[in-house]
Amino acid sequence: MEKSAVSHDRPHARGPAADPRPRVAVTGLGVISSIGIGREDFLTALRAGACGASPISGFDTTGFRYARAYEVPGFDPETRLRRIEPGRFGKVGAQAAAAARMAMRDAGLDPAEVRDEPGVIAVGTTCGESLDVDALAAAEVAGGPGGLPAPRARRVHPGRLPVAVAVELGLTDVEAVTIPTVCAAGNYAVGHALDALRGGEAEFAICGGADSVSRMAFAGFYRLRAWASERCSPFDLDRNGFMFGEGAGMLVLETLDHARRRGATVLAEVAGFGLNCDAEHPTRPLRERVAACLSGALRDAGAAPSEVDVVFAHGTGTKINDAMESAVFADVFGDAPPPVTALKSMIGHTQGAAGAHACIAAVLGMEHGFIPPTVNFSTPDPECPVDCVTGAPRPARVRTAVVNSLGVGGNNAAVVLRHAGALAGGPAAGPEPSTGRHTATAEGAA
Amino acid sequence: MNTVISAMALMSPAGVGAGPFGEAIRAGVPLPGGAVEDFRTEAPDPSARPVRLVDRPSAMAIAAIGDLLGPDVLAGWPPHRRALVLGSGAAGIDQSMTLTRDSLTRPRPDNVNPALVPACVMNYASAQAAMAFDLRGPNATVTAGAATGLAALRYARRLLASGRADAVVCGAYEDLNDRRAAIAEAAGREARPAEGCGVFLVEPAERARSHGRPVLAEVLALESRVFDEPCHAPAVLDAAVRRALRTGGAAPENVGLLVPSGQEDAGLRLPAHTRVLRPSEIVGDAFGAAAALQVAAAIAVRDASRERASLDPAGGLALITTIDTDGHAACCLLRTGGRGGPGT
Repeated sequence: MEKSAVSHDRPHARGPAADPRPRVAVTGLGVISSIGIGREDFLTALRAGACGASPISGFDTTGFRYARAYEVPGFDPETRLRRIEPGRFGKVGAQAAAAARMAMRDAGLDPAEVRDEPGVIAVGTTCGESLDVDALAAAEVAGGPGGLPAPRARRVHPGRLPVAVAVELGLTDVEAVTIPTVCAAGNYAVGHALDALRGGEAEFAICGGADSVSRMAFAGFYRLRAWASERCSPFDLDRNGFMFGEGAGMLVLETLDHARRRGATVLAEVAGFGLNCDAEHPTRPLRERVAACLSGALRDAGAAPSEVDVVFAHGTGTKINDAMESAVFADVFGDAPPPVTALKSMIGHTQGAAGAHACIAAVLGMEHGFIPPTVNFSTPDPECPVDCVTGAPRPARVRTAVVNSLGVGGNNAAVVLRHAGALAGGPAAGPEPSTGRHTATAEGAA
Repeated sequence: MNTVISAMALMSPAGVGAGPFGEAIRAGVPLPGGAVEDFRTEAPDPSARPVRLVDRPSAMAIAAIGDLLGPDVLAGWPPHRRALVLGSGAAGIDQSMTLTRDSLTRPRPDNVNPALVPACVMNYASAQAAMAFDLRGPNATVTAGAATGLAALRYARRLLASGRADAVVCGAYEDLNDRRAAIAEAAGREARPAEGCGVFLVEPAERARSHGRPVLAEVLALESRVFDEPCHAPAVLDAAVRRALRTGGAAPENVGLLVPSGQEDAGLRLPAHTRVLRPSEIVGDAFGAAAALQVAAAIAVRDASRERASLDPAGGLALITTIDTDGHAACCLLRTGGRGGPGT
């Protein structure tokens, strides 16, 4: 068995001699969100501190005292598709395919170029084709179990999401999998692609997540009093829950060699990944395991906690999550924790896409030298002693970013991203001359 | 690293356990019905507050994992190095439809059962199993329709290759419920719906050997692809099979046993002497659990031939293939007939 990727004994294993694994580059971004569609719109909205919460328009909310979500109103992802015929896939599959199409264009990668190369397509999701599930339930109410509409029944299974991506791009030699590890699924998909590329099973991957806002999820979390009434306000004293968002985030990853061979622009490096499970409580995250997951991801990246320039928190806006996560950051980063931001304030909890959306925001922040703000913030919470970037974007030289995510049920997953400069000079190049920050990292044992 | 399956636990329309399943497969007679009749979920205590839903799909998965994880398996295996990869094709849809239905039909739209909420998403069984058996390592849920079992196996092998876990509990499950049957019928899925669950202990060969566990099967290759139109499925599967054989260093003649999901083997150029086993004709369409049961069938037949000391002269390789109508084509090459497991 090959040496453990999460072993404690090689904190500096970034050179080719110490680490023969291929390094993995991000070369393309595709995004659909309530604040922007496509890289440029999303970037503009991140810099403007936009908030995409609005009254729910996707289904009738009569009878609920409040009903807002981060939808993408008026956007039909099918209008962005070239190969998929209308109606063949549900809205969530269409979003995944449309975001993948954008990401490939952003990467300057014609799908035909990689048609004969093995690839990976991994799509994270929480609720899958939830709008079709809702429609089937409505049809059952109206006409009984025998009256289910065939088009909805044919496209309801979540295993279809990566198929939509493959069909849209005309790819067949791809390992296609849906990872329904709920709210951490976007990070899971990125990590799964990373391991496939490192392991030599593929040279390119299209990975991320997609979800929509459904009656099922809204009624359920409204009933549980977990759904915020107006907007999502992470780390704020008066935060009152999360709010689901709609959208998709997809990234094109390639081995560095593959990206260089075709002269691609490298946007960032996926430097590390960690995942573990609380195995403790269905809904209350376990601080020690979340910390172990973050520490494990940093070790996997060969990054010291002191190197981290920003943490994209899971930051759901619930009382319990944000306080727990704040404690975790103190555990992992010690006396000088990096700034923290919570994208869900702007785009809502995009569920299976959340990790991917945060990875995309982190890459844009690296490229353009800023940390996106946590909006809807007015009052600090003593239970959340973090340096939260609030209100407006903060100019920053971001070389290393961490994206944290947690799924209900105790699923934790963290991604470590490095600035493209980390890959510029060759396989072993560091991002900058040593500043003495490359210190030992073998702490926070799992 | 050689990845092997060193233990398995099953639930199928033949009953609970690998024994009844193996007998049914070897007998080759279609089983009536599609339910696991002798598996009953405990009714929740009516006087207790319903904080945790006991739903059939996750109960099936957890019971099978309980059978797999005896004290001998868990001993000396640190909880944070225990991984779980579990999948199904449709789990959560039934529960989600109940919740939406209640929201649409009750006097108030928020008058829904809160205990149902976590079971509406697909990682419910994975999370429950982690809590039940202290599985604190990587915990992933995957789905790829009828190919889910092979997708889980591939995810598990990757976790081992990247050093993220010592061993992986890996499997797939699917329950039979009225809504699943109604959706299948509306979608034009003709096969008789069934339920089942197959879970495996997946670990490096050396680890199995050092723990004194038998090698039930060595995983030589896993391949999966996507097809656009059903008419392309045979060619896409054939390409996957060719690569799996190349990866496994095998020729078509070495495949002694073929376990297809349906009739997709018609397009595969395998020798006439290859034995073909069709578990779906015996147990029915177990959808998300189907591929896991196919793997189990290959192992069950291998066990029987071992007992008779008549190892397959063709080389003891088993090929599992699956076509999922939603677009997945996948295959798995196993060495099941070797006398001492891998390397012999």
